[in-house]
Amino acid sequence: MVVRFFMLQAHYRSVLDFSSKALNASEKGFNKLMEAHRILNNFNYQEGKLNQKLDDQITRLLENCFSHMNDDFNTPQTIATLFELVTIINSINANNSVGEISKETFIYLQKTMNGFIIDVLGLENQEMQSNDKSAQLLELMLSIRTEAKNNKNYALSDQIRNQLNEMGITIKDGKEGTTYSIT
Amino acid sequence: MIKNLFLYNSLIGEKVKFEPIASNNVGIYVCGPTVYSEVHLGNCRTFISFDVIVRYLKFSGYNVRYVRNITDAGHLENDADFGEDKISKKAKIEQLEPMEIVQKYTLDFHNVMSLFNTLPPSIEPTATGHIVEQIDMVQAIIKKGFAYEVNGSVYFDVKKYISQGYKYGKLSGRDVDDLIPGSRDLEGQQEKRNSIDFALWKKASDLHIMKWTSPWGIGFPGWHLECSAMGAKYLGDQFDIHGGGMDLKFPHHECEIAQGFCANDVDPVRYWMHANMLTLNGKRMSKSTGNTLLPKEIFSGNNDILNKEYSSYGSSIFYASGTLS
Repeated sequence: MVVRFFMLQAHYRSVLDFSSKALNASEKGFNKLMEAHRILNNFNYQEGKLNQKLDDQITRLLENCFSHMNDDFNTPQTIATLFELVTIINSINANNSVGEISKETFIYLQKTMNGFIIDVLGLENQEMQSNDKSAQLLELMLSIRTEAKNNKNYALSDQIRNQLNEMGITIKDGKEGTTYSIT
Repeated sequence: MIKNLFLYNSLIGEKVKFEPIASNNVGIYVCGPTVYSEVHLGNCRTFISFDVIVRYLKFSGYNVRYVRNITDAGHLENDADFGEDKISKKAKIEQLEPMEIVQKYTLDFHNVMSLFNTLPPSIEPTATGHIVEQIDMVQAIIKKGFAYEVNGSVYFDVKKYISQGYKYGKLSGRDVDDLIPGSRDLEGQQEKRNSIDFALWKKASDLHIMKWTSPWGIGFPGWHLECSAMGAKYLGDQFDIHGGGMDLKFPHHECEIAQGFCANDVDPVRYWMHANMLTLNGKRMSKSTGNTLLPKEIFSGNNDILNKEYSSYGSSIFYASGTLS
C-alpha cells in the first residue's frame, strides 16, 4: 500500500521518479494518514460548544477533496488536503475537543475521509480488514496480559510479552496504556 | 450527486468537462499487459492510475464498465509489424506451450494487481479469444477500401486514409511527412505500399506457433487491431474513455483511431487518457536496459536500490494505541 500511496502522490500525467528515499518519505506520510484515519473512526462523538470557524474549515477542506479529484483526478492535491484534515484530527484528539464540531460535520468528515481513503484512493482493503482477525486476537492477548499484571501474575504477563516479542511484536507499556508495533 | 468532472483529453490536449455518451453510464477501455513476462513497476503505475480513475468515477455515482484486455498474441518484438511474437519467443526460451506462458504471467499479473489493491476490470478479454471479431473488423476495413491484402497479410492503407482528409497523427501530434521515410530496407517491409502502413493481419510462417485460419490464409492478428475489436465489442463502436501508458500513444492508439473509424464510420473514442512514466534513476524503466524494478522486489526488498522491504499490507509498521484498562 505504501507503493500505491507513493504513486498517488504524483499526478498521473506527471513523470514520477522512483527512489528509495522518496518511498521512505511516502511511508511516513502513509502511516500518519492511516493513523489519523483510525483515530477518526474511534472518536466517541459528544456534542459540545460549537467552534463555527473550525466547523467551516473542515467542511471547506472536505469539499476541496472533491474539487481536486474533479480537476483531472488530481490525487496529489487531494492527498495534501487530506493531510490538512489529519492535522485537525490530531489536534482534536490531543485536546479531546471533537464536540466542537457539529454532529452533521463530524458525520460528513468520517464519511468523506473513509470514502477517499478506502473507496477512491484504495489505501485500505475493507474486505482484508474485516477478514483479518489477527489484530483483534492481538488485542485479546494484550487484555489478558493486562489482567495478569493486575492480578500480579507476572510470570504469565512476561510470558505473553516475550513470546509476542519472538514473533516480532514489540510491546511497550506507557502512561496511556499498552502499545504494540509489528515489524 | 452533481457531477462536475473535468479531465485532460490527450486527443485535443486540453482539460474538458466529461460528458459520457449515455448520461450515467461510462465505458472505459484500458490497454492491458502483454503477458510474456512479469509486469514491472512502471506498468503497475499505469494500472494503478486507471484504477483510481475508475474508482472515482464509481464514487461519483457513475455505472462503470471497465474493460482491460490481456494481450496474449500478435504483439511482436519492438512493437513492430515484423519479427517474432513476444509470447512465442518466451515459450521457446522457457520450453513451454505459449498458452502456458500466457497463463503463468496472467496469474502473476492478477496477483500483483491484487497486492496493489486494484479493482478487477468488469471484463478482461483476451486477444486469442477474439480472433473472429478481429477478422470481421479487417474485412470491414477492406470493404471500405482502407486496407489491402498482399501475400496473405493485410495492411492498413495510411496514405489512402490521409488522402480522404483524415488526420493520421492527430493523437500523437506526429507529422505524417516525418512518418513516411523513403525506402526502409527492413525485412518484409517491401510488401507494404508505404512503410507507414501497419499490419491488420499477418501471414504466419510454418515456424510460427500461434496462428489461425482466416480468409487470407493462416496467420495471426496485428497487435493494434485487438484493442479496437474488443473495445467495440464490449463498449460499442464509439465509447467514452480509452486509457493506456504514454508510450502507447504512437503507434498503438493512433492506429486504433484510424482502423476504428474506417471499420465503423465513427471516431472510436471520445476521451483519450494517458498515464505518464515511472522512471528509475531518472531514466525510463525498461526491461531491455535492465533499468527496472519488479513489484516482488519491492515486497522482498531484494533490489539494490531499496534499503528495506515494503509490506503489501498497509505499512511495514503499524501502531495501535492501548485503550486497555
